[in-house]
Amino acid sequence: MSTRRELRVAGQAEPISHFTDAVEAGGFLFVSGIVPVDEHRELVGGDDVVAQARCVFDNMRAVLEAGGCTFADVVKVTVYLTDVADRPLVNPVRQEVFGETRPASTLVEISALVIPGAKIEIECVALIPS
Amino acid sequence: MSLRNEISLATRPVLSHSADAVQANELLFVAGILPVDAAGALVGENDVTEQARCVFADLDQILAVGGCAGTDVARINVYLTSIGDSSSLDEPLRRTCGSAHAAGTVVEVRALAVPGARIEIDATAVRPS
Repeated sequence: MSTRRELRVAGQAEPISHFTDAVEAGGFLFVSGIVPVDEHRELVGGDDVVAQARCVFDNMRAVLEAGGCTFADVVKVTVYLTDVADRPLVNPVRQEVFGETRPASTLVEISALVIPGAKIEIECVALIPS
Repeated sequence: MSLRNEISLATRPVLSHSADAVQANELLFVAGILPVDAAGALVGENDVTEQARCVFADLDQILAVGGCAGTDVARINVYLTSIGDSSSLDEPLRRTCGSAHAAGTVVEVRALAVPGARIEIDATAVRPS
């Protein structure tokens, strides 16, 4: 019996369009693309991609926890950067956050994100621990 | 015992070495959908609203064949050639998902596989048991 549950997480900005923060379905937690913003959807980190990445992972931690998951449960991440040259700057933050866990990963450069000034967006899928 | 079943609709062009969707156990992985007709020709040239309606209508069809409804969608990714076109997905997304809300990601990309296409979407749904 598959269950489907939508999560709106306290402290997260209002999702864009007709989306929600995350959906639990089929034993997985599907997390929306997370951008470096505060709860008022204001950019965090200025033009510092490392500070932006930390904000993204802070937001991701909150969404994962709301879904009963931690970074250790993440099976897939997709990282969108507006400048692929930022990858070496972001990697140490990823290592710090994931520790021993190595999720499957895709990283691509895109030409713009929905938040003006945002340089990074990350979405993920986690396997909800039973 | 795991299930894997590829779904390809006769009304959808074959653009790549891929299926329109793959059922895998409870999950339905829907491939990237471009605004094209059955012959692969662009639909809604210079009209992102029409293109958005086209890709979500195709998503509806693929979901139905895969045993899912719009309310079963877990996540949708939207690739736009102009981030300023974001509002074009609001109405068709609402129509597809109805009372449900999916997880979503919206990004701007430099180009899509079909010249003139301004939107592509892909999705993952969970089949109701």
